[in-house]
Amino acid sequence: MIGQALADGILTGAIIALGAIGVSFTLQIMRFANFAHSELLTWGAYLALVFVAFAGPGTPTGPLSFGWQLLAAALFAAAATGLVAWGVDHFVFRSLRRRGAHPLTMVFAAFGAALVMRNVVVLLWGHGSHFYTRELQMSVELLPGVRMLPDQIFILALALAVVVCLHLFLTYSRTGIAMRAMAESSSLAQVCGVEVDAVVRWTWIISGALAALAGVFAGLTPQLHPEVGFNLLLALFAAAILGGTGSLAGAVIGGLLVGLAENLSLLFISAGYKSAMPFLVLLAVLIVRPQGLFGEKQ
Amino acid sequence: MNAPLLSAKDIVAGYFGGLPVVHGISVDVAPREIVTLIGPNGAGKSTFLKAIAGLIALESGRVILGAREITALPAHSVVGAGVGYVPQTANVFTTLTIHENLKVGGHTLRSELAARLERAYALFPVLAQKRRQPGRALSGGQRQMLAIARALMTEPKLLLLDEPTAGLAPQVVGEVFRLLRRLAESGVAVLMVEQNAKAALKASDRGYVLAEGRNRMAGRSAELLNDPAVAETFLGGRRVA
Repeated sequence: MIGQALADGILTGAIIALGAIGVSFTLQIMRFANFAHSELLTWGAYLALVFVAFAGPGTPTGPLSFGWQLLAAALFAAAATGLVAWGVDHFVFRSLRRRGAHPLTMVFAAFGAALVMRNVVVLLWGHGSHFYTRELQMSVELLPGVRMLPDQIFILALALAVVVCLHLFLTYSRTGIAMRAMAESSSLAQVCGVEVDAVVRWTWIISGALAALAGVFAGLTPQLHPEVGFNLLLALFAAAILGGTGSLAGAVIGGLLVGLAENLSLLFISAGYKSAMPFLVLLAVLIVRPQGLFGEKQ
Repeated sequence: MNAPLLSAKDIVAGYFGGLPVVHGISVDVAPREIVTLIGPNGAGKSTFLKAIAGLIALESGRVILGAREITALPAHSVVGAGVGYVPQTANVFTTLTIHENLKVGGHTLRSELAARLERAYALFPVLAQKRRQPGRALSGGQRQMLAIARALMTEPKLLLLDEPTAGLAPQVVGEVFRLLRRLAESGVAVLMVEQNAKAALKASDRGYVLAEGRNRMAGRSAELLNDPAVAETFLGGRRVA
């Protein structure tokens, strides 16, 4: 029982973590809470659906319910959602930033952008649920009492690979180091010759791409609907703030902890209250350790 | 004075949405020269440096570096034009390693990066020993060295320093000023703002006295040090003859 809750928690946590990384980057580098980030998950999920509609989900490969086409769809969605994120910044946030807008103005602009983005999805694809694939899967027993679908194991492995790649990018690449520099001090980065607009652009593209993967993974287990991102919004913010903004490790561990908290709570309370758990985590962090696990006191 | 390397004329600048703090300051710096700006708090010294570095917008005035106009260029382009800027506080990235700090300093470089990193470590051996440690592990003096080393990565023609000796131990202050002299001799002009006016003027070729956002006096450092009016107002009331 507890083993299964842990396994489910890690899976949910991995999806939350991929979304929380973007929230954390935006909070630290652009200095505002982007409540439209959850809609990037939704857009990513639906853009992958468009690709699947043309290419098909592919014949199931091995124990998985899909073929290489869905993987290609996820990559396409990642690239396209990166551009969507950059586009939203270009048309909404950038002009506000240039006018020296208050962070609260940015937050309300983000709410507005989120509403528009979500309703465009409803307009294009309707309110109903969609599936990438109708294939049925048998879960496999990993440990006694712990069962997972092969798709879910695949998602975990892919999420881990993405996080490792991102870590290498942030540690060794010129742009990655500049992003971390900007996260600490924008003005100091600028006087080192770092072009703010370039780093901002990369931050949106990377955040959007990760959000899209999170959205596809959420849509794969088991279905996607226009609220697929919105339902995770609070969890994303709880994870980013729990981890301490601006740190990759923080967002990942924050995501895993929020996922575990949601699923372990099922052992004690009814499933109806599960979605309240991120909110409780968020409250607890803000009261006990506002800078988060990996954050530094400001 | 030779043809100036930096010529900043009638600079008016202030912070976003506020009134100007600098009301028309003009400063020239010749190649290989060390120039210090002194003046009371609120004289606009730091704001002036930030305006030259492109961190805050100019309301009017012109900035010429060599033969090139750099007025109103964004900060990252000012770096490209050949100006290094070392802010007063928070002048190293504490979450980045020493090595990463220097790499950010060389952000605009491509092929020369490795050679410049080696040169920085040769110039500051203490940084070489700590290259894998985060910036926060350094002492105040070492942070200043790292900040200067980072600004030198692009081989600037002019180095702007905002209170480079603030909060440093007296023996380290001397070390910083000796380093600046070595840099000037190697061809990097220095324009600095200092609270520690007497020591800074002694380490400089020329100085400007600023007050209330305007030029008050200018001259060779020795003249300013011996000027009774300057001594009275800014150097603790004693003449340094």
